[in-house]
Amino acid sequence: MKYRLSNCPPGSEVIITELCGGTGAQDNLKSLGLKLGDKTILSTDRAISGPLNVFLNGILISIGKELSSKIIVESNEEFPLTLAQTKAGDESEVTKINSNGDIRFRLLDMGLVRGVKIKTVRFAPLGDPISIELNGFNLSLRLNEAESIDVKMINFGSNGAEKKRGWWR
Amino acid sequence: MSDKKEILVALAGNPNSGKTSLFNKLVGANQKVGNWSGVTVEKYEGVTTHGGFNIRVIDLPGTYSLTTYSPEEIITRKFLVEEKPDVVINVVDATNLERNFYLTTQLIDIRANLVVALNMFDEVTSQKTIIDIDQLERLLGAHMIPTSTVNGSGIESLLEHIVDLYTGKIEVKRNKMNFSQHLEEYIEQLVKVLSTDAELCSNYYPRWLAIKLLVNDKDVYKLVRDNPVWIKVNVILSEVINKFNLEFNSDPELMLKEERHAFIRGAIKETVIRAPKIKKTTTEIIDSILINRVTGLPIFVFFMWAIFQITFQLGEIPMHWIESFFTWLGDYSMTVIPAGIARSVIVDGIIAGVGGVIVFLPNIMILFLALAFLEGTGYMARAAFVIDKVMHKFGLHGKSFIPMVTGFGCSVPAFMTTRTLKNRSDRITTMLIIPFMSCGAKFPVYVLIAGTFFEQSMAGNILFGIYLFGVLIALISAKLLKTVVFHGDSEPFVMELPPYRMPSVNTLFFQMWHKAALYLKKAGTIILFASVLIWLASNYPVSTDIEKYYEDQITKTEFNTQLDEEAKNYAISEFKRNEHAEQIEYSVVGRIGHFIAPIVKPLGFDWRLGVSLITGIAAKEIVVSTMGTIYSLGDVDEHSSALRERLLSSPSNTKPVALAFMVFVLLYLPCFASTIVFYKEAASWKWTLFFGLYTTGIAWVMAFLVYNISGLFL
Repeated sequence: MKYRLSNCPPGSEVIITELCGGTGAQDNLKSLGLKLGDKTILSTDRAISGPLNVFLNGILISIGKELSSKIIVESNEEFPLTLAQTKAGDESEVTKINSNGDIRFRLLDMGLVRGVKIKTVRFAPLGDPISIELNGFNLSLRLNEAESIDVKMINFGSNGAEKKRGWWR
Repeated sequence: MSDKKEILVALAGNPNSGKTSLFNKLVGANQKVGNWSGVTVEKYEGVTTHGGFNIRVIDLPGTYSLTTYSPEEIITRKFLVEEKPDVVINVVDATNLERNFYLTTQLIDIRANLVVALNMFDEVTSQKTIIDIDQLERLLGAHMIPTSTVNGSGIESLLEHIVDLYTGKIEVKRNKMNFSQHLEEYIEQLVKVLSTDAELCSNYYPRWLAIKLLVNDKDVYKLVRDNPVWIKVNVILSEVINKFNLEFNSDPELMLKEERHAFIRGAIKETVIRAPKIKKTTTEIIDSILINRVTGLPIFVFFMWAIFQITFQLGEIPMHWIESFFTWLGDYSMTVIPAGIARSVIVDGIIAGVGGVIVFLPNIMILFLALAFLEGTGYMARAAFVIDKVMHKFGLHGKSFIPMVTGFGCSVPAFMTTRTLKNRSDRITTMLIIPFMSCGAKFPVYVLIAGTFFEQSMAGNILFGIYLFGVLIALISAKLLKTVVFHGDSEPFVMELPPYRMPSVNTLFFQMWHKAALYLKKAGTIILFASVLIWLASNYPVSTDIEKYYEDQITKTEFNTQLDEEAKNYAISEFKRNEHAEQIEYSVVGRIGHFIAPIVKPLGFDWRLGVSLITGIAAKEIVVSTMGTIYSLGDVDEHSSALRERLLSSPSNTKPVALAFMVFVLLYLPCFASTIVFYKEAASWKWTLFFGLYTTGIAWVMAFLVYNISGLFL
């Protein structure tokens, strides 16, 4: 299974398979000494929302959250992932709806059932809510609703590579 | 007309499926708007004729599903299940069948006499999508007709189908949607048990009841629970829930919904061929500009500002015409009706009252035209998307923003815009805080008071501070109401962002006109009655003693030979003003003013300010003119220097009093018109009472604090 490094839980062992992001981010990552195929172990003493501490070839380095989301890694284990953790452009598939009551009712009615494919379109200017595409239409959800939707990754969005074409796209 | 047979047709469909446009195409201008009984959801009804039949069309509110999630869904389901219309037209957006067919399958479940209108078919054609309609009809089990409200195609055929279905010329296609074996087994068991109850089954289709019981539908539960079959039904239900939990780690609700979606996906896979998407759609391009991370907010702010400006700046022009027309009418009536109580009732009571109702019309029409445009294009959902984070912090919904902004202009249309909020607690909370957004009519009061008691350089800051204070109180109130009164109940933000479309001019104007009609019909009559009442209270009873005293004084002055003509006229007009002031003190309003004097005393207000607050309940514009009357000045406006001098000369009027007075005007019960509209929109006396007490209570407490705290510094 492939994940963004930022979505991997502490203590997991992963292999770097892809570096995305614009040239700036790529350079940044390379200057940290990251290479494809590197084996990485996430340190357990990660602060709640701070940078990730990572053992890379036995050396402890610290990578910012934004930057770490641009590192695609592979793991033999399955990590929990929610819709809220995806990035604009990502494509994923719903595996479970964890909410209850009215929200679950509404999500199921709108077609968010197991097996449906979702594209994360964008985050609102203030970061919440999130806009997704499923079954050919656009739906918006708050982040805390998106957190209750378990997904598995199908495709990573180009994630910033597009940014070179201009900020408005 | 009356000897013709009538066919009752219901239009059901998702929001943004073009249902309203289709309704307008079907019935034209031959439509009326009302409310569904008990709730403030609009009910559109129209009549058309075809093949010798009168076809009465009910446009049901747009829904995604037939559950009882929102008032719209409850109404739609109740109407379809209980009124059993002769024909149900399911309007679907043919460019998005996956989502739209979800409702269709539920309409099939209730065994409606169904015709599906594949609407927006012109877009399907231009996207080079191919739909095998015959096959789709077979798979779903419903007649399907491609329609387009842009070029009018399919409308005739739709009418034809309605008549043919009614007369039995063509048969209703029946094809129940089959679920998996595990589910069907239990549905059958339930149907068997339910069928033993003849009464229940004569009203409801048993298979529908069975399915609804399996998805935990609260209303159907309640319905069945009161019947003797419940004991058996309950046994089956607990068995199925247990079994599904153990064997599939799932529940019947989830399985049913998953299978329903899967069935639709399958049907579409077999019948629809889409041209490969190469370039970005128009919607994607527009979205990438309008709700982009950088430009999203500024564009949103601009749109809100533009709506506000158009509504209240442009609206002011016709408002002036209306005002001058009613002034003219009043003056004219003065010349034709002989003086007396009748004249005074007609001119000052009724004509002024009607004028007071109509004067809001330009605002309402412009605002709702602009909002219908934003809604019709699809931007409205994006506006909520952009601002939701901020609003959610205070327990509100993204859609609460527009009513709040509108509140800066006038609370009356602002209350009416809260209809876009589906959740009742969201809606009531938004309505309760709207009056704290200082409306346009309060502005002259601030100008007068701030301009009188503070130097020019400070007055502007104070004005700004007052507005800011209102917003602050509004947001704090929202948070408070949401946590204390509603215990955090709010609508989940699961909202479609529909594709951008150009709304038709017809639809826009119909919507605008419907709003205006609703306002005139529902609120206008009561507002008129209330303004006459308030006018009576501020003019009656008349004291004959005061009248006689001033009559004598005036007569004496007229015969006073020592005075020249000019001095005489001056003295007489002075007497008349004094008489007016004393009469208002003697009237019901004046007495209430004296009565409440002890209540407003802790705020530093004397009885005169109290009286102007009382008349301010009629309309905030009256506060200033009442002050003019009560300080014996005759007609004044907020720039009158005479009034400013009188205000300053009263020793009890100090700077802290001035501040407290402005705060009180900002927060207390808004005008009568808006209170009535609040009642009409909330449809509850309880909430209207709470509204009055809450706003006035907050006003008193805040004015008290401002008076005492600022008293320490000023």
